[in-house]
Amino acid sequence: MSLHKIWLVLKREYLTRVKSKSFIIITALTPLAFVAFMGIIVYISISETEVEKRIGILDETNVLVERLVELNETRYFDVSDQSVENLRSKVKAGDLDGYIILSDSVIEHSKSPTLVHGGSGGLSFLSAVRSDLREAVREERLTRQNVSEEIRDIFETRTGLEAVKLTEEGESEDNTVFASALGFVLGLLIFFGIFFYGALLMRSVIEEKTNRVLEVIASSVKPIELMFGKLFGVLSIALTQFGIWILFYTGLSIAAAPVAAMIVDAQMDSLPT
Amino acid sequence: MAIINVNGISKSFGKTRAVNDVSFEVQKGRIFGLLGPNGAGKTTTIRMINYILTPDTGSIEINGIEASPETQKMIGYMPEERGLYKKMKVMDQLMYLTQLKGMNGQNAKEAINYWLDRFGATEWKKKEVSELSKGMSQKIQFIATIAHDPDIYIFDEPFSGLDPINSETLKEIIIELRDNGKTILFSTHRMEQVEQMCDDICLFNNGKAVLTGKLREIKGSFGENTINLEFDGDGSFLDKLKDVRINNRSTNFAEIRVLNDQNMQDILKLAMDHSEIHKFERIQPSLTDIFISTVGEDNIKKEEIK
Repeated sequence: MSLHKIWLVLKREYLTRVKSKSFIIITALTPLAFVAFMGIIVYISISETEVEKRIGILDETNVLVERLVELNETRYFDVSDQSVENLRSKVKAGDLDGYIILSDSVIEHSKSPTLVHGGSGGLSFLSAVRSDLREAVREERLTRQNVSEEIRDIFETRTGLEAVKLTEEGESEDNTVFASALGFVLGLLIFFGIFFYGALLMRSVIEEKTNRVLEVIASSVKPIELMFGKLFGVLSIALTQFGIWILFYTGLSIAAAPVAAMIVDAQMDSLPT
Repeated sequence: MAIINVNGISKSFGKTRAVNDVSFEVQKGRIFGLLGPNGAGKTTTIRMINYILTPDTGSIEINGIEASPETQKMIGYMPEERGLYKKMKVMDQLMYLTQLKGMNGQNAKEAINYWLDRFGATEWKKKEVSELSKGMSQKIQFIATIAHDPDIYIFDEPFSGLDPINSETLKEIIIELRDNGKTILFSTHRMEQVEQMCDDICLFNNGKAVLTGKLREIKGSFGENTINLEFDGDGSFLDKLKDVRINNRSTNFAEIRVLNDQNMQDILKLAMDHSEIHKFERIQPSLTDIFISTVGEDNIKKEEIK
């Protein structure tokens, strides 16, 4: 293998790509797309909690609905005076997101009630409703059995868990969440990197085939040299692109630091002394 | 001295034997023509000489060195399917292709400038190939082939797709290269060009070299077995002739290839009975005729040449 030839192939691959319009556009747009992507994720997670679903409770026991409304006023409504047909039409019309019929057997025999809803609830919504129901039913059963306050407190107990990391320097705050988030982001980058730069390499090979320049090249270069040249060329392109993004990001951070400091200072000044 | 020595090479693609035990030598400073119908194995042989493919059996030596990346530098190769990078500037492209052939940057630049100037293409330097016309890009392709000043030039079907003017230019350059002591090997199926240019030929058919040697000797070996006949009158007597093949027949002209050592005087007598003879000439067969008779059904000469 001739390193010189690999170098020539690499240089051509690199220079023609880096000078191309598509490279400049992609380099400029990817951070924006990334920010937009993150923004969409944040927006979705925020908007999901904002929009509360409205569940009608047709209560035959006359005790559970109060507890449920107490738990979440905006989610549960007492509709015990309405007919099932009426509720169904309301769900279809979208006035209600769903309704639940609660009979005595829910309390007595732990029968699972049915949520009739217009779909698109999401898993977290269903589990929230389930836990609310559980709590209401449990409370009611405890009341019926005349259980003392002490024992009720035992049921109320929610033991948490604080994590602390032990290192050479001593104990420090656990950053498991941050580490897994970083892992996710890096994994995403590797995933897209393999897709994107793999496609770039493939396209470069296809280009030579369709331009029919391949036979001319093959009469001067071994296929393995051509392949290595292209591979390292694309690698250099990837490094350049990531380099630009990292520089851009650190530059932005450095530029943003004094601005942030100014804002903090201004806030400090306005604090009452 | 043989500059290209092809020694009993064979190449199969799957079950197809593209090239079957082919041997020939190309002498330095001569123009060597590879002829043969489509699919005869010419391009495969050329690719093996260029070390793009390697033969299954047999060996190829160039300047006494086994075909290798080293010998690739001695060869300027223009494939039949020509192509350049569409999005690259002419100068960058030529620099790239020439440097890949092992020339250093400075020499490559000088050589390219010389050839661009020679072809009147200096002002295209900064243009992308996609902006050039077909004729222009063919010139650039040609420069890419010859700029590294190799000893051997290999052109696969160089005249296909060229207009008559470019065709003529190419022919002149090939002859000029030969006069400068370079060796040229090209494949074609255009006989008139072979007849005008080639010193030696190798005729391919079905993956085999069926006829190899100096063009003049090959033509001579067929003897003066062809009649050029010009006549006036009814030409239907030509249909009555037996054991002949008539090439180039028109209303008052016929080129008659005489088979089976038939007496040509009998043909003349028959012709005189039916029409007025203007010219009766015994000549060597044309290359087209040799091509057809060697490749076609009547292979009378084949055994002798072997």
